[in-house]
Amino acid sequence: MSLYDNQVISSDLDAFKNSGVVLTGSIIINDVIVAAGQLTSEISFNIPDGCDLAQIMYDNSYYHPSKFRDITKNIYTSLRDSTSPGGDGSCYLYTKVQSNKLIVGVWVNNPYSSALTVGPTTYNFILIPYETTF
Amino acid sequence: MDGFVTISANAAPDSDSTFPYDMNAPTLSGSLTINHNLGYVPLVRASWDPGKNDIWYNCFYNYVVDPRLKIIATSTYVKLMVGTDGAAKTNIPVFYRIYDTGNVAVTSDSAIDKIFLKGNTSGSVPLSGNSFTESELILTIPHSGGLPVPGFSLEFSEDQTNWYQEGMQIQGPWDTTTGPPGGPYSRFFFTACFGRIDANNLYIHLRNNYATAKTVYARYAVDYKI
Repeated sequence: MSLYDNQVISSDLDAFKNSGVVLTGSIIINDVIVAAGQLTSEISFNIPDGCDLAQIMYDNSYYHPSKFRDITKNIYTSLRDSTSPGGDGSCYLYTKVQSNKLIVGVWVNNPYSSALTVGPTTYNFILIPYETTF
Repeated sequence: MDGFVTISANAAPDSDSTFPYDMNAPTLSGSLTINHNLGYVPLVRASWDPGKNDIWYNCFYNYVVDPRLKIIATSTYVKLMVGTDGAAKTNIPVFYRIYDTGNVAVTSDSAIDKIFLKGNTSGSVPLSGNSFTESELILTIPHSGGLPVPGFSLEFSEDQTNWYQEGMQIQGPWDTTTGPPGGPYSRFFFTACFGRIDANNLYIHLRNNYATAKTVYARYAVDYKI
């Protein structure tokens, strides 16, 4: 263990200009995607100017509710297909930082030549933006 | 709380490491659960040294390294999971840090995760022969942070406006040669990035599968683990 074990954080990464606010949000996928189509759903957060990085975790309401996974280690996650039990698909998660805005998104592709019903699945996100001051 | 631990991936995966709970479910895995009992889901940083040679990774990208690390955080515990698709892997080094997200005043002298280097860089990623093949450019950033190997944060961009975390893909258009006219298509073009770090350098891997060379930008921060 390190010298800093069990101490409340005193980290360069804890440079929150708004006093350590943890952001939360959700994206619900429950749609019909046209043949060979794509679906993108995004949520946007206002973050302090100068924040250039973020730690983001998410859970999956159907497969791992309340068990949050690090988005950089799990950019693909399962997506319920309630019309075809056993035929659940997947979606891709992404994040974008734009100046004072942090966007989290879900992208779903329909690779088939017919419409695809996807969901319902809710993805809950926990976001901690920080700036790399030093 | 934090620590350097070792985890062996040498047993049948438990439910958290099986498909479809883990989209990259391994063949063999091992795990370590740390009870934090904070009552909320904390910030967690975790990295691992898959080769046991003091080269550390933060993110999982497209099976380029094995074994791989996944984490789960709940309101009471953090679970570190190491998985492999090959032969059993023993004693894989993992570093984790669990943060109490309190409101703490910071001075650089007293800070952990002390950032000692940050910057921006870019490079031209060579063209790829086809969309099924990724071309790569590796940028080397000297840091001389020594041992224990520092941590890092890394983002990348195609336009210096939208910044994506390492491990992700910036998705481009479909490769229309991979399906009938109008689709569906099986491949899309993308740009990707991941990093690794040792005692002396941060290595930024920029990748894409476009038919033309592409300039990709990266920004990074390197911090001491302890």
